[in-house]
Amino acid sequence: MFIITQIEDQIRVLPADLTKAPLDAVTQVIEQRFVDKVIPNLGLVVSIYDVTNIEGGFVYPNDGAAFFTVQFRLVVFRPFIGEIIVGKLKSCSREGLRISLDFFDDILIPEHALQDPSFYDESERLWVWKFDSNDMYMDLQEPIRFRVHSVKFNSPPTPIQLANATGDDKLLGTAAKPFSPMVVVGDINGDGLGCTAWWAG
Amino acid sequence: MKLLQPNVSTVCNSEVLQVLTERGAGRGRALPTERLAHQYLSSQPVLPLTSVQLQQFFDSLQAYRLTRGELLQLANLAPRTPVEVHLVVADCEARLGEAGVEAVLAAVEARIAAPLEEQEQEPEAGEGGGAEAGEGEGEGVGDGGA
Repeated sequence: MFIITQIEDQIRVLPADLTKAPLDAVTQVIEQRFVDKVIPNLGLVVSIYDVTNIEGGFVYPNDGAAFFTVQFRLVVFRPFIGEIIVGKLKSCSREGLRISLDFFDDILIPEHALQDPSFYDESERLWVWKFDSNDMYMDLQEPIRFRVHSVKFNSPPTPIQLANATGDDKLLGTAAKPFSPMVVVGDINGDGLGCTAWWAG
Repeated sequence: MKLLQPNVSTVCNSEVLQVLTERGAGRGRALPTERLAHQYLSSQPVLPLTSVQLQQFFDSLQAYRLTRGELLQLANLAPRTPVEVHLVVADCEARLGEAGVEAVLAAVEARIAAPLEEQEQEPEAGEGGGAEAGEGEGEGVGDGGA
Protein backbone atom coordinates (compact mmCIF):
# COMPACT_ATOMS: atom_id res chain seq x y z
CA MET A 1 0.00 0.00 0.00
CA PHE A 2 3.02 2.26 -0.09
CA ILE A 3 4.90 3.65 -3.06
CA ILE A 4 8.11 5.62 -3.40
CA THR A 5 7.83 8.96 -5.17
CA GLN A 6 10.70 11.08 -6.43
CA ILE A 7 10.21 14.83 -6.13
CA GLU A 8 12.27 17.90 -6.90
CA ASP A 9 11.52 21.08 -5.04
CA GLN A 10 12.94 24.44 -4.03
CA ILE A 11 13.61 24.13 -0.33
CA ARG A 12 13.94 27.31 1.67
CA VAL A 13 16.24 27.05 4.66
CA LEU A 14 15.90 29.81 7.24
CA PRO A 15 19.03 31.81 8.11
CA ALA A 16 18.94 30.47 11.67
CA ASP A 17 19.43 26.94 10.33
CA LEU A 18 22.34 27.71 8.04
CA THR A 19 24.88 26.59 10.64
CA LYS A 20 23.52 23.05 10.34
CA ALA A 21 24.71 20.65 7.67
CA PRO A 22 22.67 21.25 4.48
CA LEU A 23 21.30 17.71 4.59
CA ASP A 24 19.89 18.14 8.10
CA ALA A 25 18.45 21.59 7.45
CA VAL A 26 16.86 20.46 4.20
CA THR A 27 15.45 17.28 5.79
CA GLN A 28 13.83 19.33 8.51
CA VAL A 29 12.10 21.61 6.02
CA ILE A 30 10.96 18.64 3.92
CA GLU A 31 9.50 17.05 7.06
CA GLN A 32 7.47 20.14 7.80
CA ARG A 33 6.29 20.68 4.25
CA PHE A 34 5.53 17.17 3.08
CA VAL A 35 5.12 14.59 5.82
CA ASP A 36 1.51 14.01 6.85
CA LYS A 37 0.24 15.99 3.86
CA VAL A 38 -1.71 14.67 0.90
CA ILE A 39 -0.20 15.22 -2.54
CA PRO A 40 -3.21 15.58 -4.88
CA ASN A 41 -3.86 12.51 -7.02
CA LEU A 42 -0.89 10.78 -5.48
CA GLY A 43 -1.42 9.96 -1.83
CA LEU A 44 -0.55 10.66 1.78
CA VAL A 45 3.11 11.24 2.46
CA VAL A 46 4.14 9.05 5.38
CA SER A 47 7.87 9.47 5.58
CA ILE A 48 11.06 10.57 3.84
CA TYR A 49 12.86 7.73 2.10
CA ASP A 50 16.06 9.58 1.26
CA VAL A 51 17.52 12.77 -0.19
CA THR A 52 19.28 12.06 -3.48
CA ASN A 53 20.61 15.43 -4.56
CA ILE A 54 21.10 18.89 -3.02
CA GLU A 55 22.16 21.78 -5.21
CA GLY A 56 22.24 25.52 -4.87
CA GLY A 57 22.10 27.24 -1.57
CA PHE A 58 21.68 30.63 -3.20
CA VAL A 59 20.62 33.60 -1.10
CA TYR A 60 18.43 36.00 -3.06
CA PRO A 61 18.28 39.75 -2.47
CA ASN A 62 15.92 40.94 0.30
CA ASP A 63 15.63 37.45 1.71
CA GLY A 64 18.16 36.06 4.12
CA ALA A 65 17.06 32.47 3.57
CA ALA A 66 18.98 30.06 1.35
CA PHE A 67 17.24 28.23 -1.49
CA PHE A 68 18.32 24.70 -2.30
CA THR A 69 17.13 22.67 -5.27
CA VAL A 70 16.64 19.28 -3.71
CA GLN A 71 15.72 15.93 -5.21
CA PHE A 72 14.36 13.48 -2.69
CA ARG A 73 12.17 10.43 -2.37
CA LEU A 74 9.14 10.07 -0.16
CA VAL A 75 7.18 7.08 1.09
CA VAL A 76 3.58 7.68 0.04
CA PHE A 77 0.49 5.79 1.17
CA ARG A 78 -1.41 4.88 -1.99
CA PRO A 79 -3.39 1.66 -1.93
CA PHE A 80 -4.12 0.17 -5.34
CA ILE A 81 -7.60 -0.83 -6.40
CA GLY A 82 -8.35 -4.39 -5.39
CA GLU A 83 -5.77 -4.44 -2.61
CA ILE A 84 -6.69 -6.26 0.57
CA ILE A 85 -5.94 -4.31 3.75
CA VAL A 86 -6.57 -4.96 7.44
CA GLY A 87 -7.63 -2.00 9.58
CA LYS A 88 -9.46 -1.25 12.82
CA LEU A 89 -13.15 -0.39 12.94
CA LYS A 90 -13.29 3.17 14.21
CA SER A 91 -16.98 4.07 14.06
CA CYS A 92 -20.31 2.92 12.63
CA SER A 93 -23.12 5.01 11.27
CA ARG A 94 -26.17 4.51 9.07
CA GLU A 95 -24.05 5.32 6.03
CA GLY A 96 -21.58 2.56 6.74
CA LEU A 97 -18.31 1.85 8.51
CA ARG A 98 -15.33 4.00 9.08
CA ILE A 99 -12.02 2.14 9.30
CA SER A 100 -8.74 3.44 10.59
CA LEU A 101 -5.16 2.50 9.90
CA ASP A 102 -3.57 4.40 12.76
CA PHE A 103 -1.90 6.91 10.46
CA PHE A 104 -4.86 7.24 8.07
CA ASP A 105 -8.46 7.47 9.19
CA ASP A 106 -10.50 8.25 6.09
CA ILE A 107 -11.46 4.77 4.96
CA LEU A 108 -15.17 4.39 4.35
CA ILE A 109 -17.17 1.26 3.69
CA PRO A 110 -20.56 2.40 2.39
CA GLU A 111 -23.55 0.44 3.64
CA HIS A 112 -24.21 -1.18 0.24
CA ALA A 113 -20.72 -2.71 0.25
CA LEU A 114 -21.16 -4.65 3.47
CA GLN A 115 -21.66 -8.42 3.62
CA ASP A 116 -25.05 -9.48 2.35
CA PRO A 117 -27.37 -9.21 4.34
CA SER A 118 -26.26 -6.66 6.94
CA PHE A 119 -28.48 -4.60 9.18
CA TYR A 120 -27.91 -1.56 11.31
CA ASP A 121 -28.81 -2.18 14.94
CA GLU A 122 -30.16 1.13 16.27
CA SER A 123 -29.92 0.23 19.94
CA GLU A 124 -26.27 -0.82 19.82
CA ARG A 125 -25.42 1.56 16.98
CA LEU A 126 -23.51 -1.26 15.32
CA TRP A 127 -23.78 -3.06 12.02
CA VAL A 128 -24.72 -6.69 12.16
CA TRP A 129 -24.27 -9.40 9.54
CA LYS A 130 -26.97 -12.03 9.67
CA PHE A 131 -25.24 -15.13 8.40
CA ASP A 132 -27.16 -18.42 8.54
CA SER A 133 -29.29 -17.01 11.34
CA ASN A 134 -26.15 -16.10 13.33
CA ASP A 135 -25.82 -12.50 14.37
CA MET A 136 -22.27 -11.43 13.65
CA TYR A 137 -21.70 -8.05 15.21
CA MET A 138 -18.98 -5.74 14.02
CA ASP A 139 -17.69 -4.31 17.27
CA LEU A 140 -15.55 -1.20 17.51
CA GLN A 141 -11.75 -1.64 17.55
CA GLU A 142 -12.07 -5.01 15.81
CA PRO A 143 -9.62 -5.73 12.98
CA ILE A 144 -11.49 -5.67 9.68
CA ARG A 145 -10.19 -7.00 6.37
CA PHE A 146 -11.47 -5.03 3.38
CA ARG A 147 -10.83 -4.66 -0.33
CA VAL A 148 -10.00 -1.23 -1.76
CA HIS A 149 -12.67 -0.16 -4.23
CA SER A 150 -11.46 3.34 -5.10
CA VAL A 151 -9.30 6.21 -3.91
CA LYS A 152 -10.85 9.69 -4.16
CA PHE A 153 -9.06 12.98 -3.89
CA ASN A 154 -11.02 16.10 -2.92
CA SER A 155 -9.48 19.46 -3.71
CA PRO A 156 -9.48 21.93 -0.84
CA PRO A 157 -12.41 24.37 -1.01
CA THR A 158 -11.86 27.80 -2.54
CA PRO A 159 -12.97 30.87 -0.57
CA ILE A 160 -16.01 31.32 -2.86
CA GLN A 161 -17.12 27.75 -2.28
CA LEU A 162 -16.69 28.19 1.45
CA ALA A 163 -18.75 31.36 1.40
CA ASN A 164 -21.57 29.66 -0.53
CA ALA A 165 -21.56 26.42 1.45
CA THR A 166 -24.38 25.96 3.92
CA GLY A 167 -24.68 24.00 7.16
CA ASP A 168 -24.12 20.36 6.30
CA ASP A 169 -21.82 20.66 3.35
CA LYS A 170 -18.86 18.28 3.26
CA LEU A 171 -16.57 21.11 2.26
CA LEU A 172 -17.01 22.80 5.58
CA GLY A 173 -16.51 19.76 7.71
CA THR A 174 -17.03 19.73 11.45
CA ALA A 175 -14.77 19.09 14.38
CA ALA A 176 -15.90 15.48 14.34
CA LYS A 177 -15.53 15.05 10.58
CA PRO A 178 -13.03 17.54 9.19
CA PHE A 179 -12.55 18.01 5.47
CA SER A 180 -10.69 14.98 4.05
CA PRO A 181 -8.43 15.54 1.05
CA MET A 182 -8.07 11.79 0.42
CA VAL A 183 -10.76 9.18 0.92
CA VAL A 184 -10.38 5.44 0.37
CA VAL A 185 -13.63 3.64 -0.37
CA GLY A 186 -13.62 -0.07 0.39
CA ASP A 187 -15.91 -3.03 0.33
CA ILE A 188 -16.27 -6.07 2.53
CA ASN A 189 -18.70 -8.10 0.45
CA GLY A 190 -17.01 -11.40 -0.16
CA ASP A 191 -15.41 -14.49 1.33
CA GLY A 192 -12.68 -13.67 3.78
CA LEU A 193 -13.69 -10.03 4.12
CA GLY A 194 -15.09 -8.36 7.22
CA CYS A 195 -13.92 -9.04 10.78
CA THR A 196 -10.79 -11.19 10.71
CA ALA A 197 -12.22 -13.17 13.60
CA TRP A 198 -15.05 -14.47 11.39
CA TRP A 199 -12.65 -16.27 9.05
CA ALA A 200 -9.84 -17.30 11.38
CA GLY A 201 -8.86 -20.99 11.05
CA MET B 1 7.38 21.24 -6.80
CA LYS B 2 8.06 18.80 -9.58
CA LEU B 3 6.99 15.18 -9.44
CA LEU B 4 10.01 13.68 -11.19
CA GLN B 5 8.73 10.15 -10.88
CA PRO B 6 5.35 9.76 -9.19
CA ASN B 7 5.80 6.02 -8.87
CA VAL B 8 9.38 4.88 -8.57
CA SER B 9 8.31 1.55 -7.14
CA THR B 10 5.82 -0.14 -4.86
CA VAL B 11 7.22 -1.14 -1.52
CA CYS B 12 6.29 -3.79 0.93
CA ASN B 13 5.14 -3.03 4.48
CA SER B 14 8.32 -4.59 5.88
CA GLU B 15 10.47 -2.20 3.90
CA VAL B 16 8.47 0.79 5.12
CA LEU B 17 8.80 -0.55 8.66
CA GLN B 18 12.57 -0.66 8.15
CA VAL B 19 12.62 2.94 6.93
CA LEU B 20 10.50 4.12 9.85
CA THR B 21 12.63 2.27 12.38
CA GLU B 22 15.74 3.87 10.93
CA ARG B 23 14.08 7.27 11.35
CA GLY B 24 13.60 6.42 15.00
CA ALA B 25 9.85 5.79 15.05
CA GLY B 26 10.16 2.78 17.32
CA ARG B 27 12.06 4.76 19.95
CA GLY B 28 9.69 7.72 19.97
CA ARG B 29 11.99 10.01 17.98
CA ALA B 30 10.26 10.54 14.63
CA LEU B 31 7.28 12.64 13.57
CA PRO B 32 3.81 11.75 14.93
CA THR B 33 2.60 10.35 11.60
CA GLU B 34 5.69 8.18 11.31
CA ARG B 35 5.14 6.88 14.84
CA LEU B 36 1.53 6.04 14.05
CA ALA B 37 2.52 4.30 10.83
CA HIS B 38 5.16 2.35 12.74
CA GLN B 39 2.56 1.43 15.34
CA TYR B 40 0.15 0.17 12.68
CA LEU B 41 2.79 -1.84 10.80
CA SER B 42 4.15 -3.37 14.01
CA SER B 43 0.69 -4.51 15.02
CA GLN B 44 0.30 -6.65 11.92
CA PRO B 45 0.93 -10.40 12.33
CA VAL B 46 4.00 -10.24 10.09
CA LEU B 47 7.61 -10.45 11.21
CA PRO B 48 9.80 -7.46 10.44
CA LEU B 49 11.74 -8.81 7.46
CA THR B 50 15.03 -7.82 5.90
CA SER B 51 15.29 -7.46 2.11
CA VAL B 52 17.14 -10.78 1.96
CA GLN B 53 14.40 -12.64 3.81
CA LEU B 54 11.77 -10.98 1.64
CA GLN B 55 13.57 -12.00 -1.54
CA GLN B 56 13.92 -15.57 -0.25
CA PHE B 57 10.17 -15.66 0.39
CA PHE B 58 9.43 -14.48 -3.15
CA ASP B 59 11.92 -16.95 -4.61
CA SER B 60 10.32 -19.83 -2.76
CA LEU B 61 7.05 -19.09 -4.54
CA GLN B 62 8.56 -18.60 -7.97
CA ALA B 63 7.12 -21.81 -9.39
CA TYR B 64 3.58 -20.53 -9.03
CA ARG B 65 3.96 -17.52 -11.36
CA LEU B 66 2.26 -15.04 -9.06
CA THR B 67 2.12 -11.41 -10.17
CA ARG B 68 4.05 -8.69 -8.34
CA GLY B 69 0.87 -7.33 -6.79
CA GLU B 70 -0.09 -10.75 -5.47
CA LEU B 71 3.37 -11.40 -4.02
CA LEU B 72 3.31 -7.97 -2.40
CA GLN B 73 -0.07 -8.61 -0.81
CA LEU B 74 1.03 -12.01 0.44
CA ALA B 75 4.05 -10.40 2.06
CA ASN B 76 1.88 -7.69 3.61
CA LEU B 77 -0.94 -9.88 4.87
CA ALA B 78 0.82 -13.17 5.76
CA PRO B 79 -2.32 -15.27 5.27
CA ARG B 80 -2.89 -18.23 7.56
CA THR B 81 -6.05 -19.63 6.02
CA PRO B 82 -6.87 -20.75 2.45
CA VAL B 83 -9.71 -18.23 2.19
CA GLU B 84 -7.22 -15.36 2.59
CA VAL B 85 -5.04 -16.77 -0.20
CA HIS B 86 -8.10 -16.98 -2.44
CA LEU B 87 -8.76 -13.30 -1.73
CA VAL B 88 -5.27 -12.26 -2.78
CA VAL B 89 -4.67 -14.48 -5.80
CA ALA B 90 -7.01 -13.97 -8.71
CA ASP B 91 -8.34 -17.15 -10.35
CA CYS B 92 -6.85 -19.18 -7.52
CA GLU B 93 -8.47 -22.50 -8.38
CA ALA B 94 -7.08 -22.61 -11.88
CA ARG B 95 -3.61 -21.21 -11.18
CA LEU B 96 -2.74 -22.65 -7.80
CA GLY B 97 -5.17 -25.41 -6.97
CA GLU B 98 -5.23 -26.89 -3.48
CA ALA B 99 -1.61 -27.97 -3.51
CA GLY B 100 -0.49 -24.50 -4.48
CA VAL B 101 -2.52 -22.88 -1.71
CA GLU B 102 -0.99 -25.31 0.81
CA ALA B 103 2.48 -24.46 -0.48
CA VAL B 104 1.81 -20.72 -0.16
CA LEU B 105 0.53 -21.12 3.39
CA ALA B 106 3.54 -23.26 4.29
CA ALA B 107 5.95 -20.69 2.90
CA VAL B 108 4.20 -17.91 4.82
CA GLU B 109 4.22 -19.94 8.03
CA ALA B 110 7.89 -20.83 7.71
CA ARG B 111 9.21 -17.46 6.71
CA ILE B 112 7.14 -14.45 7.43
CA ALA B 113 4.24 -15.02 9.80
CA ALA B 114 4.71 -13.77 13.33
CA PRO B 115 4.31 -16.59 15.84
CA LEU B 116 0.83 -16.80 17.36
CA GLU B 117 0.71 -15.85 21.03
CA GLU B 118 -0.31 -19.30 22.27
CA GLN B 119 2.33 -21.20 20.30
CA GLU B 120 5.97 -21.74 21.21
CA GLN B 121 8.47 -20.19 18.79
CA GLU B 122 9.15 -22.85 16.17
CA PRO B 123 12.67 -23.80 15.12
CA GLU B 124 12.02 -23.10 11.38
CA ALA B 125 11.01 -19.58 12.27
CA GLY B 126 14.18 -19.29 14.35
CA GLU B 127 15.79 -16.66 12.13
CA GLY B 128 12.63 -14.60 11.92
CA GLY B 129 11.82 -15.34 15.54
CA GLY B 130 15.22 -14.02 16.56
CA ALA B 131 14.56 -10.83 14.66
CA GLU B 132 11.19 -10.49 16.39
CA ALA B 133 12.75 -10.91 19.82
CA GLY B 134 15.47 -8.40 18.97
CA GLU B 135 12.92 -5.85 17.82
CA GLY B 136 10.83 -6.36 20.93
CA GLU B 137 13.88 -5.87 23.15
CA GLY B 138 14.82 -2.69 21.37
CA GLU B 139 11.35 -1.26 21.96
CA GLY B 140 11.46 -2.16 25.62
CA VAL B 141 14.75 -0.32 26.12
CA GLY B 142 13.37 2.72 24.30
CA ASP B 143 10.31 2.84 26.56
CA GLY B 144 12.43 2.48 29.67
CA GLY B 145 14.65 5.38 28.56
CA ALA B 146 11.71 7.64 27.68
